[in-house]
Amino acid sequence: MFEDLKKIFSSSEYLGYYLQGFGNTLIVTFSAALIGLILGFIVALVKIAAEHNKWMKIPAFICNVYTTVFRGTPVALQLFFWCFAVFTIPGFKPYAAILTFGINSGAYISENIRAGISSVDKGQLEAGRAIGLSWTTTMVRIIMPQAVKNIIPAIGNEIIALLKETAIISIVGSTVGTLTFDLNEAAHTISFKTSYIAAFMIAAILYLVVVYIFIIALKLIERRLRKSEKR
Amino acid sequence: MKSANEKNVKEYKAKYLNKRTAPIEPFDPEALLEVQHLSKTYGHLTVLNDINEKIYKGEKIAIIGPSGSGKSTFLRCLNVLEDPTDGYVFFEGFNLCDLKVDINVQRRRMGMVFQSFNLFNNMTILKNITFAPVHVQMQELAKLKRLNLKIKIGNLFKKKDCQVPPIPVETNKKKIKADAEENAYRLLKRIGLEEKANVYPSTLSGGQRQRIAIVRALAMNPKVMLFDEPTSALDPEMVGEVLNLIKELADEGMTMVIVTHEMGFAREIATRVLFMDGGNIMEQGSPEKIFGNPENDRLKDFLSKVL
Amino acid sequence: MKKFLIGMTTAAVVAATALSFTGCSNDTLTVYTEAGFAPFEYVSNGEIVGVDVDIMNKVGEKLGKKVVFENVSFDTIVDAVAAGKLTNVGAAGISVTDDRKAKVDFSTEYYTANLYVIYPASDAATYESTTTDGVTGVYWESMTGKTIGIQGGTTADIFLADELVEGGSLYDTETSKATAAKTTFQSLNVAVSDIGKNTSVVIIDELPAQQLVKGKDNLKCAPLYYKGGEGEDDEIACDTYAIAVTKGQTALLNAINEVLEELGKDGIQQLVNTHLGL
Repeated sequence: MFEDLKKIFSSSEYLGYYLQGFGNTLIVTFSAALIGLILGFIVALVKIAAEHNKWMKIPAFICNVYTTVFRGTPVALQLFFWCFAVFTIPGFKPYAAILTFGINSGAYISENIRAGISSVDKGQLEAGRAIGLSWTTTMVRIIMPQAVKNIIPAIGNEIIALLKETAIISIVGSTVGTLTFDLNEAAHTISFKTSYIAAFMIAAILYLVVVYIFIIALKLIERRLRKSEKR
Repeated sequence: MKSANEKNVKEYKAKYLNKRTAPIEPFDPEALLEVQHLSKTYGHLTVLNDINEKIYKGEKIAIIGPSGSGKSTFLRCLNVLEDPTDGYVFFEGFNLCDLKVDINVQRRRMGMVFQSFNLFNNMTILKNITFAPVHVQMQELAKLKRLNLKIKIGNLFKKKDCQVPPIPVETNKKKIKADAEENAYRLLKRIGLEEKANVYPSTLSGGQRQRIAIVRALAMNPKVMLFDEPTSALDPEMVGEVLNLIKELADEGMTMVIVTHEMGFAREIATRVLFMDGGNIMEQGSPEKIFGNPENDRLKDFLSKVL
Repeated sequence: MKKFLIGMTTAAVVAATALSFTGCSNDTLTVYTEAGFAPFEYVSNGEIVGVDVDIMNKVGEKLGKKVVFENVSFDTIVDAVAAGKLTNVGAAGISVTDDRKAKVDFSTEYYTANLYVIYPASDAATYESTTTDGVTGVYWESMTGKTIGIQGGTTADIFLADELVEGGSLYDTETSKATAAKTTFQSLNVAVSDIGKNTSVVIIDELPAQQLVKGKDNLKCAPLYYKGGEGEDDEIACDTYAIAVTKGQTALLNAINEVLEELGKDGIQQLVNTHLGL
């Protein structure tokens, strides 16, 4: 195995593959995370607003269907659906894949956000309304800041899962030079001339490094949010 | 014929459309708060049963009764925190159950104090007290500015003598904030907690939090204060300081409605005591009458257990 | 509770180790294959069938072992056989290449297959040309500027990789860049369904190619040719199949070679025809 490792590290072509794959994985993950956050936020907001505003009942129903369908089906199936059945424009495949991951994450993130908001004591909303503030003001200025403390760890978890999930992007076909050539596929390509263990171990270490940095950033954010709970 | 049809329509509306069927009687302009035919049901459980009551300015109403009698629900219906199934609540002539009335504006003139304090955990004490007044006044300011802008634009199209003068703007953001903070400090000083102005609620004791909650409600200059079992969640040592503050408010002439289990306190400050049981007001009268000379059997039973 | 947990963990560990040795157990022969390669292995009525399946079943009879087929992704087969832990045999229309010979032992070669190109019927003019053999074929050069889909690890992958670098027909020496793009798929069906969308053509062996375009009016396939130099004949791209065996498993290797010799070229062609429905 060590000869294989030496072979990998001495070949600029292989290192180039790893670099490309690493970069592509990060781009796909964070683009999908962004889409997921925005989508999840909107969906969660619609569902929460439906409790207060009866005009939101139909949009809330649509959001429930969205959450159920995209949490209830495998991501691989969703990839095939979006990349081969819906977006068949040539050249759009990597972006369709990013969209798939974004839509899938959005469903999970919306539930995280909704749960975070529900976990805030009902008395906060009552006090805000009893003092004459509107529902929107109470939600935005009083409930949301408190909900964020519970939401951030859950969303952080989801993004870590997303990073690993993007490894299946190669089932729709991976082309060197496009975003579909992720870290997993890079290790795969390199494993043909070397060995599986060496190639994938390096990929695994790279995944671990990203996750570790992300976890540290998450801990810093959580610490800052806990400022108001100091005793 | 016509009246029978009307009755059927009414029944249909009540059963299936959740519309209120009680007749709206003209309200008493003297009364600050008035409830007419107030009912609240959860499915088959009737929590409030056709209550009619008037509360005048300067009155201090104490509501006592066993748990499950509907005391808290009644109080919460007064500012429509609980939506009445039937009946109406009038505050200063405004029908709070009418969807056309802006409930937020009305609630600003009522202060509510909760059993579990409900201070805003993400804000400092000072922010807790000044948030609502500042927010409301800033909204008014923004509205005024928008109106002035409309007037100005309108004036561009009018001749010199037809022009409408813009409304003078008398406050600005800084002044609003400064006034609110000054008021907050004054109130905090009154309860002796001014050094706690910049801490978060989680660092304070229950008694301190409840007093700050009362002060937060006072910062909006309400016409009536509603207290929902204010001392029930406090340690016995802290009950006294909260009750003293409420007594001070009572002596200053604040109209208040208190749901409480503290019979001694009710006897001391109330001008009228209501005894509720099973969703009805069973008996009411002055404290001497209720505590010294109870007529109703349930009331006698209740008092024998609590006193 | 503690005892229960210890018992469960021990049972799980024992079960896992037992399962991991099925490749080497004495009465079962685990064969790794990729069941998307008609007529050599494909799924019919819920079972894996094909030419390779028939050959290995005969080997099982000869050795007195039960044959179990594991359907995995193609590019993991050679490495799995090389490791020898989970399986000792890979029968999946595997072509003999020098890289693979270094990792595993190969049986005698039993089939020569040409590489075919699957392309949209509407683009026939772009790709088809008449070769020196007199047949309609596709030259490597006709795929300049296209996106070529292949199944990872197959000879199509290996041959294409050679064309995309210096010295190959899909490489521009002036810009030092490849003139075509390679998209790697794990499954042929996915690759073919991508034709016309993100992929222009798919390169795969002859018989699977013909099976894949059967019944689809919008796709055609034709053999892949290397253009011959001045005065030389065009050469068809082809490779030979053999069965991969873990190095050192001589008894198994001999049994396989015996079966192949007994079948002979005709026997194999007969099996191919049966599975083609001819």
